[in-house]
Amino acid sequence: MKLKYSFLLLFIACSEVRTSEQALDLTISPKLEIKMGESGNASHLDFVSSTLNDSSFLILNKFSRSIDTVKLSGNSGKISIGSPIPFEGPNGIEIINYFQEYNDEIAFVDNNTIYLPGLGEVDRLKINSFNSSQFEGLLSIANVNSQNKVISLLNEKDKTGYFFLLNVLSRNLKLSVLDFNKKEIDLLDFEVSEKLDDHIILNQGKNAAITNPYYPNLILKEDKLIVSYPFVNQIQIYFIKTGETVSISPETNLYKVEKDLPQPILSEISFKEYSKISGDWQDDVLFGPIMEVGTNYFRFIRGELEVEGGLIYMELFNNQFEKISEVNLSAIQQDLGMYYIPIGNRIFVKAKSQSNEDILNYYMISLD
Amino acid sequence: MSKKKMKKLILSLGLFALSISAFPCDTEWNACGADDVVAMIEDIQLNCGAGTVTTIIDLCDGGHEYIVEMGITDPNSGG
Repeated sequence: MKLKYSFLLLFIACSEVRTSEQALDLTISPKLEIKMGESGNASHLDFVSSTLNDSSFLILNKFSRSIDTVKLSGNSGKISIGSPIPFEGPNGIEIINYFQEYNDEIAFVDNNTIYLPGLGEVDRLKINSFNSSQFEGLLSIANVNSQNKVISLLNEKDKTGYFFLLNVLSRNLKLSVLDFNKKEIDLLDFEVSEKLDDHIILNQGKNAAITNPYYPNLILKEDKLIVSYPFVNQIQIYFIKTGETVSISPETNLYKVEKDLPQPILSEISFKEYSKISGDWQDDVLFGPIMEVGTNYFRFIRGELEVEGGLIYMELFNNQFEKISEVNLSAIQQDLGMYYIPIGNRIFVKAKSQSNEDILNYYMISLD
Repeated sequence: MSKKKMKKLILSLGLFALSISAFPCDTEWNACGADDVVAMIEDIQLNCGAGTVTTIIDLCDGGHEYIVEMGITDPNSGG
C-alpha cells in the first residue's frame, strides 16, 4: 500500500517574504528491495553513481570494478553487472572518483585526471598539464555532491568540463572550465559563498592539511552551473554565457539554515580534539546536492543528528529556482536515507537501514 | 576466507578487488575507528605526493570524513 499525502504548503521565495499555497501530491512507496549479492557490491556502502534514463541508473561496483546498471520496473528492480574496468593498458582507469556518460560511453574523473573514452585508447587528461596561467600551482579537482557522487559536469558537445579546482598549496578554490581540446583552464567570474571560509576546519601539518568535507556541490544544466553548499541553504546560479551569478537563500520553517560555525583551531591539537570538532560540524544540518526531477529541482536536507536523529526533509524548486514547497519526509517514512537520485519524475532513495549487505533496500518517491 | 567475508573486508578497506599498481592516492578510503584513520593519514603522508587529495571515511563513526590534502614537504621539517 502506498502512503499518499497531499500537503498545502507555505512557500517563501528569495529574500522577499511572500506566501503562496500549492498542493503537492507526494507518494512514497513501501520498502522495496534489490538483490545485490551476485554483483558483489554491498548495500551499506556509499554509491558512486550517475543518472541514465527514466527507469535506470548506474553505480560503481567497487568489488568487481564495473559500472553496473540498476534497472527499476514498477516496484521491482535488478542489477546488471557491467564489464570489468582495467587498471592498466590503453583503456586502463587508475582511479575512479566519479563517472558520467560521455559520447555514449563512460568518462571517469579522479582528483587530477579526466579519462575520456577514445578510439581504442582512453584519453587521459591530467589537469596539471593544462595551461592554467590564471590559476597556477598544484591543482586538484574538488570532490562534489558527496551524498550520491552524481556529476553532470562534462559537456561532450563543447568538449569541456566544469569543476571546482583547489590549489593545494594556496588552498584557493575556484570554479573553472577545462577545455579538453586546447588543454586550457579558465577561471569563471564566480565568487564562492562568503560563508565558506568560516566553515573550513583545517588542521595544518608539516606537509599535509586535514580538512572537513566543506567543498561546494555543483551541477551543470545546459548553460547554467548550480552551486550549493553542504553547510548553508544558499544556492548560486551561474549563467555561463553572461557570467552573471544569482544567489538565493530559500527560507524554511522546518530546519536550520546553516550549520553552527565550528570552533576555530588556533594551535596544534590532537587528532581526538580535531575529530570532535569536525564530527560535530558534520553531524549538524546537512544540505544535499541539487538534482533535477522532471522539470523541477530538488534537494534533501538532513536535520541535526543529535537533536532530531537526522530527519530528512525535501525542498522543491521550479525551473526558475522559486521554491515551490518543503516537506518533512521523515514524518511520512522514517527509514529514508540521504542517498537520492532522480529517475525520471521519481526519486530513488536508499533506505537508512540496510540490514543485509546483499540486499539493497530503497524507496521510490513520486511527485505528481 | 569465505567470499562474503572477503567482499566485506575488501570493501571495508576501500580497496579494489583487482590488483592495483600504485598506492591509491587521490581517491577515497574506508576506515573503522580513530586508530585506523590516524594510521591511514600517516600512510598517505608517506606515500602520496604533493597535490594529491585523499578522502578517508570512518565507517565506524557515522561516516565522518577526513580530507587529506598533500602540500610540499618542508625540507627542514623532518616530516
